Amino acid sequence: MKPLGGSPRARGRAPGGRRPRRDSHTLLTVTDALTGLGIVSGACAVSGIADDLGDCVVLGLAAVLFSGVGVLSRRRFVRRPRPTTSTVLSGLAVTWLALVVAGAATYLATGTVERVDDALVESAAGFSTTALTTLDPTELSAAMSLWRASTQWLGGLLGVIAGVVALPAALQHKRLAPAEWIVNDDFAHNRQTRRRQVAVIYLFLTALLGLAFAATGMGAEHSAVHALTTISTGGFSSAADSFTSFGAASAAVATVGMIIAGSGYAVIWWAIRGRAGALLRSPELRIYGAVLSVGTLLVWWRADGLSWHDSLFTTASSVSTTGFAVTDWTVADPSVTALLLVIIATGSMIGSAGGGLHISRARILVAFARRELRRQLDPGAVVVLKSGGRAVDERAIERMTGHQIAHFATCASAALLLALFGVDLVGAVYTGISVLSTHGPGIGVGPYGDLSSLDRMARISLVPFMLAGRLSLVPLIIAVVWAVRVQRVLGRSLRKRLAKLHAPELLSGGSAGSRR
Amino acid sequence: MRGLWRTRAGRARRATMLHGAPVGRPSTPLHVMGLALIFVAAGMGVCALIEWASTNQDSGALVLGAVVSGAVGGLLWWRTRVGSTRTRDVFAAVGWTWTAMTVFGAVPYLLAGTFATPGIDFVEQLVNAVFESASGYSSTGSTVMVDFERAGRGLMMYRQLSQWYGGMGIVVLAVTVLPYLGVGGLDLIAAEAPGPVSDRLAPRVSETARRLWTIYVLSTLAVTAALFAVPGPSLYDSFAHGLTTAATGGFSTYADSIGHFDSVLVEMVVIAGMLFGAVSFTLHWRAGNGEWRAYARDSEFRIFASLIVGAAAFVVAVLWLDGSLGAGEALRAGVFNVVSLGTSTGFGNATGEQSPGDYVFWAPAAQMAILLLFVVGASAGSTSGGIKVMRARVLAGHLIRSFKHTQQPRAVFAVKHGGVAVPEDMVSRMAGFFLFYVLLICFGAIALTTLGGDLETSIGTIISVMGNMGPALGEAGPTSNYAEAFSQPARLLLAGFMLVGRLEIFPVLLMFAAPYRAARAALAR
Repeated sequence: MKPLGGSPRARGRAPGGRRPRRDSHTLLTVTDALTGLGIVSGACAVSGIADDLGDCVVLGLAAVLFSGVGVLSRRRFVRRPRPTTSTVLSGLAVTWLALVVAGAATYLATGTVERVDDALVESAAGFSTTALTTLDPTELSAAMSLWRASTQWLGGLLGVIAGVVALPAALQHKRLAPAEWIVNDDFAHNRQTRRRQVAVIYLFLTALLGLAFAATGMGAEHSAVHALTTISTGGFSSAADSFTSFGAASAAVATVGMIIAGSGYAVIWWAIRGRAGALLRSPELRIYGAVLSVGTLLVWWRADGLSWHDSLFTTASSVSTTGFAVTDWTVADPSVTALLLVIIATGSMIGSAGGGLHISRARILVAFARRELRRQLDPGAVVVLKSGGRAVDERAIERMTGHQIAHFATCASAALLLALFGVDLVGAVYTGISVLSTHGPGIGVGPYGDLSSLDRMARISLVPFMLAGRLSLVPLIIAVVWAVRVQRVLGRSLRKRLAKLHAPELLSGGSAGSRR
Repeated sequence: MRGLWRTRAGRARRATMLHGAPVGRPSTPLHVMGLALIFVAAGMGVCALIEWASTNQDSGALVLGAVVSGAVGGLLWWRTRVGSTRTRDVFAAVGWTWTAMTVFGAVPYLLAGTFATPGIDFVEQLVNAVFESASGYSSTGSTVMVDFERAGRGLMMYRQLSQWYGGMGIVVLAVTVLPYLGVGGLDLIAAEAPGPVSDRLAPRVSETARRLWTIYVLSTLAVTAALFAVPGPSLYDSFAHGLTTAATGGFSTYADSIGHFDSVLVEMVVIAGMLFGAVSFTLHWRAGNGEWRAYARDSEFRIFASLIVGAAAFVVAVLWLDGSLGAGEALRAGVFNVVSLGTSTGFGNATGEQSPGDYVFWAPAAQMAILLLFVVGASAGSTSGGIKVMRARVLAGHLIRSFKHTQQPRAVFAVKHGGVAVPEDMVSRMAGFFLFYVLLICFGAIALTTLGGDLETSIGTIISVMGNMGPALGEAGPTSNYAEAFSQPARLLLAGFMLVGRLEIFPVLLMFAAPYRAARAALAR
């Protein structure tokens, strides 16, 4: 079979006069995501039709447009069997950017948001599963409230698929063995099947949570919204004060939902398959449990007047980087705030929808630090770091330490930028870390993630950090490199065409001008 | 006699006898500790003379402190000799020596009743004395002293001298004075000196140490002379501030630090002194030998200079655009504080609360820039704190390399610094150091807030203390006092963090390794 690479000119037209399908993993991922957004928009339009017809019509049109563009464009591209790491990472970044733009356009079209910058912030917060908002959720129609929650749901699903399917597949054959991804072989080896397995679990858990919320008497719309944003560790709520106004039963369901959502999909898979041994052996799960329990105890001890279940809720919200709140913990004892900040920065388990550094990485980094301490005494010592019984490749450790430095540098940049736009020092540091972990609420922006206290420029400056938090810095940088390359290729092609138009004889003669 | 060098112990005994050093039980940590305490006692003795000649109110405390330190130090020095210089012994020597210096250095404050104000019990006096001593020897510059008029001139000079000792390092001084410590001496210097590497300025380690101290003494004298030459400071003030400027320490004999003089000329001299102290002493030595271009050729120096200039320009611009300060005030306050904190000195030029130099009232962006300077610090091989520019540069290179490796996993890239490939084990060590740094800051922030500090003060202080800056943010700003900002246990914890920051983490974490091994061996026997 003839390879699909090379220019269309070289390949020639396909039989039947049809243009050949382009090999573009990135654009194919974008079309798939747009199709998904279209389907979700359609579902929201249908479900909210009784409430506000105008919003539903716009959402319906958006559904047709996104699905149409997605389905029609998909036929023009083909996926390479083994995409390169750069392709996968740039694909992820470009997909998120496309979704953010599409989401912002929908907000503007429905009139929910009037300004472009606010629409971009709201959309980025949605797809990056960050619980920050410029809107009053009580003023939204049912369809828009559901659609807003669906952006987080879609963002969470893409995050899980990226973490459990796309990135391990892209990195597996390299020396970047994804040791920090504890993805068990129980998942299917085939990417398509694995993706389907993950999507089915995600859907199943969403439905289960929706039913559980409904059983606590939340009402259909609230239940659906909170189920969508809990399982995605998003944190958007249909109430202005998050879970404060809902009952203890709803908060308990949300707590369980957040704990499940913050655990990795390998763990959920083991639980579904009844593999108790694998669950018990997982070091990351043990640490996750320890962070939850010790964090809850410390929060309960230090925060006056906070019940143990509210402490557990707050800790679960922080460790899973969801961002729901039952109380204004920013006015609690400073030690609670400091502790939660560290928990938020560490984040959830790898392979979950949550953000942060991730427990698995943090664990390997601490082991690395201990090894360096030992090497101080015995510089020649050869110490192999292990994760889940497997030796961790030195390149993977190098990448993780690099990632940690990048995380720190990005946090510092976010904090500096926020401070430049007038956010006070602690607020800037807290919000920087919170946004980069896709948590959202913080001292600078309030415990319910309301961005109204922030300057407009400060809000818009958060957008790249939300995406960096969702994707980590590496895909974003690779996407920038990809964009520069695409721009160069397009520029070269344009120049050639212009040269052809103005001086065809130069091209045919192969003069120095055309070569330039 | 000939049989002496047939065994290792015999050779060591003979060597020490030939060099005039004492003969005793082999123990490098105790021997170095003894020497350090003798130096501490000598410093106290000199300051007792100053006290006796001037205010004569704390002479007894200083003499008694000198006697106690000298007696313990002398005994340790006499009864031990240099033994093993394995890495764990070197770390133990440096870690325990600094701990002992801090504890014995607190004696004069305690005996003089420096912190014996009404309502303060003995335990709090003890905690304050240890804090002040740790802040001095680690050249941090944080203070719990409220009444600066209470202490005599000699005691205040001892406080300044403690920073001067800590700036270059007392173990380096020991290696300078006693050449027989040269066996494994470079490891001792490396464990104590700020920065990831320790350059050898001469084939002999003791000669290297001597040269370092020569530059140090000359820079101190130069700053003293310059300060004395400008209107304002007396000879006493000039010398006192010369000591802490060269050491990039930040202690002052006045509560409002350099702001007391309210003089642009004094601030300019101090800025020059701080910048000199924050640059690698190896570069100064090379420049002193006629190699003037050494500065321009050094990659770390170029980055450090760019960092300071960039940060100063940013802060001045923010202050000016903020509208709270005029252009002149913004320039003066911005440049002085950026240099003071960027070099980890910690002097302030605030003339009072909410004056232009009181940076806790500045715009958040300017404060954030200062906070980031706290972390980076100055050059390796200088007297400054922080993670050091060299480490930051190598870590940035490591970060870029990890990006490249994501795209080209099989490619081999070296992290370079100044055009030279940095060995992989050093890159690893620096990454490990940075991880510990971040972990300790997280732990410290949680601990300080648990012990009663507010969030801004706790985060600012732990970063400041780890970088040996001195003043921090919030309630621990340049016109505030640590005694008011933190509880007793928090102050004790901060004293520990100062030593951890000064010795750059590893020696303090590993100082228990040698005693642990020795105890285990003793138990096994």
